[in-house]
Amino acid sequence: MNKRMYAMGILLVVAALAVSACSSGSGNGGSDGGVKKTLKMWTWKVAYGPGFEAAAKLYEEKTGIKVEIETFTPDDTYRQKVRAAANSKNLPDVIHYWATNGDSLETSLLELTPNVGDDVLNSYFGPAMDPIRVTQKQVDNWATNKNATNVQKGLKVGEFYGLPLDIGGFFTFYGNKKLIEQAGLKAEAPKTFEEFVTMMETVQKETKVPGLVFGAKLPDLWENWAGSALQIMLNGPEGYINLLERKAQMSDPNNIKVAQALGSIAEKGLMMPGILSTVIDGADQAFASSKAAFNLGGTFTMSTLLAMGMNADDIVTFSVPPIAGSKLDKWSTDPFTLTMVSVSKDSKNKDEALDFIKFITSDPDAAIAFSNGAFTVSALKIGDRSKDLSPALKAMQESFTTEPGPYSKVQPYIDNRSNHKEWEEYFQSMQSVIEKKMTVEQATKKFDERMKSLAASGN
Amino acid sequence: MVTAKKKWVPYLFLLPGILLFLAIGVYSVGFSVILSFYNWSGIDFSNARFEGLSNFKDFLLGDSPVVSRNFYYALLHNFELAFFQVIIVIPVALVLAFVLQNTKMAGFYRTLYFLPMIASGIAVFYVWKGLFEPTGVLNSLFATLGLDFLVVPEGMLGNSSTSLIGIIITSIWGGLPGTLLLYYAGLTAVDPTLYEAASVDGASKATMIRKITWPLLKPMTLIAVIQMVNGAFQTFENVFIMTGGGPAGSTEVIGTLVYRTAFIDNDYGLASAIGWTSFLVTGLIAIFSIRGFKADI
Repeated sequence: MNKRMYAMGILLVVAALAVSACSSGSGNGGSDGGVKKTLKMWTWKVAYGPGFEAAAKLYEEKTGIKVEIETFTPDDTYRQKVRAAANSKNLPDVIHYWATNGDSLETSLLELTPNVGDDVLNSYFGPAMDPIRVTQKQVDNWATNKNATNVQKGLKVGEFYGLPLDIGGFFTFYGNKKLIEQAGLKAEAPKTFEEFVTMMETVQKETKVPGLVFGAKLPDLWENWAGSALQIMLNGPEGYINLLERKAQMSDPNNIKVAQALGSIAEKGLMMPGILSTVIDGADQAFASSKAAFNLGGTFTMSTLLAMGMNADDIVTFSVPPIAGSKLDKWSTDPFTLTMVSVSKDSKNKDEALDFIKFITSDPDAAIAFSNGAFTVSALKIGDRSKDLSPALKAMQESFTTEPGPYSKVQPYIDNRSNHKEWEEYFQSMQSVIEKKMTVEQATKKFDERMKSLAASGN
Repeated sequence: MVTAKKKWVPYLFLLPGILLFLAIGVYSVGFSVILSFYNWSGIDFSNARFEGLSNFKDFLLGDSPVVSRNFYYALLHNFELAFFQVIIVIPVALVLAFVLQNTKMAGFYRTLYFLPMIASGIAVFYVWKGLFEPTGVLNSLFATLGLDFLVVPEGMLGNSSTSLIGIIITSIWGGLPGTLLLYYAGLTAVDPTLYEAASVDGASKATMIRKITWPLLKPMTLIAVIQMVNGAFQTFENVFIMTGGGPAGSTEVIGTLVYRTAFIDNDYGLASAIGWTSFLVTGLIAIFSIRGFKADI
């Protein structure tokens, strides 16, 4: 009898442990009985940790609600973790994610459209909501695209499921000041792309250090970080939109110049050997260790370079310079939202989570604390409070236009680019151009032919 | 002694394992088959849309020309991997098995040869990646030996003409121990009296290998071929870590294509369809291999 009782006791303990282990890990479910509330948040950005912690501390001081931040890296792992958690309804209260829409995460996130008013939305940089809010263009594309998901087809114009956290821009070249000066040049921004190529040639010739590095292992990186800006400057936003909308040809003398710009760098042998097996971090490391004189990045690259031991005084930065004769004679840094914060639809602490994401994105103190800690520019217009930012961030923020510019005009069409598969093939062709195994003319002709055949077959 | 009354007891003990297998193995495989007929982006299956054979048509019949091109390129690369693995690993493993059987330092060599089997793939493939870099050991070695024509300035993995060779080398390296183990076991199992009898009849060493050893090792060879073909069609880890399928798609294999389609493009239906087609191709190759060898055994 005693043995039976003993066994029963063990079973009960095991069952209790199992039940507690299987319970939701999200928050502690409320402040009933005077228990302090805790929100759980996930992110994948290790570098943003101090920023989130600083903002969370302010929020706790203000509301008494603690925010626990968990980081999962690298990017792919995080994406999969979020999707798996969304399927099992185990998302945390707050999710930090890439600024996007239409990737089906919407089914697991709280729709913010009825919950966030203009008082908050108007406090952000002009184009900050663009990649997050569903546009008419997207709705039209999803309606006609046979591959669009049911979730995409169900989204309505104006809906949004996240708030913009930080903004930035790609289209930035970083130059090694010491190497440039060693080559007898002034460490200044070149006025045209051709001038930039000459600059790289001189530096490479004089210092024997390869001219350029970027994460070319990613086939679309050049287009995303430099090519699109060159194309927008060359023929104006409309010119690029025509290409994206299959209304123009890449081999057209007016359009081919952008592909030729990359081709000229390859032809002159100015890229770091092994560039096609180099990822973004690898490119930054190569630049930081003086294995290349110039590096292509974004506003966010500076923090990485500094973390890798570079001195800000040894770096010269400039926007992608226009090809000679371009319609726009310089690139105005038209920032776009990099990441957003959202609330889980199944959170037991929805109100608090919503309050926290409003706080971190629209409260000036929180935004400044986050920016300084994460070394990224907040999406909030902070006006003269920019004096509270670190000098480098302040300079970066002031260089951004606060209203939509040419890139914002093109962005909805860029978002739709993945549905036009000729681009996927084009990016691979441009890798072959980098290898000098394909000419620019062949690559652009192939693009045009594929575009024509895909359009004809309804793809 | 098991009485009739207690016959069910062993099954009771098997039940947790069976349930686990049904829950994890059968369910996930079955779900993946179903998924291949749907358009689904990976979250909440109630949003999935039945598409019939559309996913299969996309890549098999060219309804989506770029997806189709990617699939056939990837398939070709898998075939190349399987082909080179089989034709290189089989003879090398056979020779090494002979060496192992006849050397005094068998223990040392066994440890050395079987190292790839126990080493962590991810860590090792990063090491391989380093070896293949422009300034890596391989290029430096070739340059030092005066074999400049073998130096790849962009690194073996950074050049679309040589990147697949790099992947094949690592696949051979990874595939060798398993086959070696099979042959070693096979050689040890050969009855020594057969050799003695052949020797009495005046057979040479070469004749003995041709007429005794090789026929007796054929079942092992069949297993090794099937294992390697299967492995080649499941290649993912080394490609994903070392090249990600590039440059310019030169090392894309079915594994990386499925990964990209599912986890980057969020098209789980298409990814499942590609995965199952690859499974069928592997199965067909295995059946043909078995038939071919059976006719010969």
